[in-house]
Amino acid sequence: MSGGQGPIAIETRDVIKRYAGNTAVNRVSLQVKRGEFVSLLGPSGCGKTTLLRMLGGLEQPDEGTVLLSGQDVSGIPAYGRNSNMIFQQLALFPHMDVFNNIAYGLKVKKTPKAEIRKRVHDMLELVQLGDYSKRAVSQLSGGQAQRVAIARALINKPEVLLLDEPLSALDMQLRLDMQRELKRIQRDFGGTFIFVTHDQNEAMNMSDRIGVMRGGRLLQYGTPDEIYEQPVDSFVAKFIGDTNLMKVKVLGTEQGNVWVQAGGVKLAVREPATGPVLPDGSTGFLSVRYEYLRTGEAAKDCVNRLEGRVTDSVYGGASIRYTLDLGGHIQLQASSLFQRGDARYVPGDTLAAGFNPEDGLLLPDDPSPDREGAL
Amino acid sequence: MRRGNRNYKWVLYTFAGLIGLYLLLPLLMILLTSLSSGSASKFPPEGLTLEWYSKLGEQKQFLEAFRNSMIASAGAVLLALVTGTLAALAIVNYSFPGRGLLRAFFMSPMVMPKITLGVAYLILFSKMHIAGGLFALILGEAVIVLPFVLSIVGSALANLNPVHREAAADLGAGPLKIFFTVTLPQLKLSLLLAGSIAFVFTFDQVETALLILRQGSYTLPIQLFLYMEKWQDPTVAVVSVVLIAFALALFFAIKLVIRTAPGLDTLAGGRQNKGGPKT
Ligand SMILES: Nc1ncnc2c1ncn2[C@@H]1O[C@H](COP(=O)(O)OP(=O)(O)OP(=O)(O)O)[C@@H](O)[C@H]1O
Ligand SMILES: [Mg+2]
Repeated sequence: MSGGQGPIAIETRDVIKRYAGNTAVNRVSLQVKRGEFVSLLGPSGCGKTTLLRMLGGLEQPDEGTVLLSGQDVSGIPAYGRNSNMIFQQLALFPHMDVFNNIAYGLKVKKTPKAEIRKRVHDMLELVQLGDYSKRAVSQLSGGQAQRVAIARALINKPEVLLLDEPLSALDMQLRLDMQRELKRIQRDFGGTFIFVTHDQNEAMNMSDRIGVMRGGRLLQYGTPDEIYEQPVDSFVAKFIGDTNLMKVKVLGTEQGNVWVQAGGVKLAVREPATGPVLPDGSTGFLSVRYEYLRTGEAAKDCVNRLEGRVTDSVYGGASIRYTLDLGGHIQLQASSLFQRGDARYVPGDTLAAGFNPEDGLLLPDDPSPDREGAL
Repeated sequence: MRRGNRNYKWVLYTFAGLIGLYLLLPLLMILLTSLSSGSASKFPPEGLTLEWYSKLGEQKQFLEAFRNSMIASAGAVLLALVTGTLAALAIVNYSFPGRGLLRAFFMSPMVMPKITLGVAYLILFSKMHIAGGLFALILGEAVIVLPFVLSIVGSALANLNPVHREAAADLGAGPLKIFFTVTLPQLKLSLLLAGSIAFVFTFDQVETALLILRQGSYTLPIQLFLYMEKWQDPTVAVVSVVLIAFALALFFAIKLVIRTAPGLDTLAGGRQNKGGPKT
């Protein structure tokens, strides 16, 4: 991954933030290397904004430390830190035009007028808003306002740029454009970006690393590949990409394969190189991604073979997604590439399905009680 | 049906017209009286003349009183704007014990009988040896108009989005800088509004002024009052008309400022600012 080996730009060590008894951020340790694009991903209310605000100095942790370029900055307020934030609501100053919004950080630092003019001009070029310097903030479109907010933060050449769901209010097309734009700006600017989102596609598309959060905890922090292929638990697996989760009982290990029982069937899963995940006799989740569950002809050669009745088939252009009822309350979804002329099944048909041990993943039980068990 | 509707409208028009006439009548009477050719304020006037207007220049005491009124009102308003804004900042932005009590205390001059306040000021300022002068009046009036500033500026302050202050801090501005570059500019309209209301209110305040002031520092309302005790000629009406013109001019000036100041109309809440898409 790009910039993966650089020095650490920002780091938290065991930070905790409590609000009136409930813990918004719970012992999070996070290291972001210089030049990385990191996404913080998680459901609403999981503490992403709170963590970001602590990184920016708008909130002080109750416990733990924040380090910016190796320096302990806990206790230093936001205006003393070389990081800048783009707020969830953008927070452009309504009483200033675009130029003065962008120039604000430089004016505060008493930069000479001529230099301010030049650097604001350069920034407007970078975010492709060349002619908009005299516009009132109220006369900008959502995407333009977003870019002004980015320019206003970047002009200070921050060590770290913190972005709190800056794209959440945009429609799909603009959002994709802005994702590309942000990546381009990051490439041109060369800074460290920490990007909060609750959209997993956005995180997957843009990031060098992803941190998945839930209930104030950082569950997993790794590259998109790692998170997708080796989620640490069933929550991460479910949150990133689409996956079937089956509640299973571990039977035993044999020749590098773990045998588990799901409902009435026995299935084999490749044991990870790191050793067994779950002891024999315990229960856990078996995760099989939709696209790894093969159907029809392709299922014949699989080690684990299943058969079910199609209850639903959703045509999605390049792929088709079947919902299979295997009986015994087990329902699976399979998504397979679809080309014209391929066999297509309709609800009521019987369909063979299967997967190989290396495509399944055994995950520990989800520790939190607020999720229902197997699908 | 149509006919009935039209009749109904007629009633409304007549009613509204009568109310308008009722509101305007005193002003019309003043205007007519000021043009009266008789030497006593009589209504209806016997003849029309501008004579009393031309004689106003000779009445130096009114000019003097007008100047005193301006100084006292402007001073009191400025003092109240500064202290009221500071108080509003503390009360709205920080939570400390006794906050509600402090607010109620600062608002209390609104319900306090002005004559009581006047007596109290007279005693206090006499002890301080400043009674009788305009400075004492400024101090007293500032307290009386403080509630206007506190309530108007306070509610505007509470409506400001704190995220702008955070953004400014994040961009490197310290608390003082934030106040002058972010908070204060967004309060401009409320300050103007609170200032004008307070100004109009203090300008013809009589009760406290009557008790505190000594000869030589009389304000306009008192001077008018004293003049009327001695003379019955239309001069008082003339001064009143001039005052009405002054108030109208002030009103239109404020309207003009609001219209021309960029961004103020958006701050007034007419158009929601699109500073950030709401989430
Ligand atoms: N100022 C505050 N006072 C009290 N509780 C707060 C405060 N800020 C956040 N919280 C609580 O902390 C938890 C985490 O909030 P946070 O804003 O960090 O969530 P988030 O992950 O950013 O959510 P979203 O995706 O909806 O923006 C929530 O339960 C929230 O209610
Ligand atoms: Mg948030």
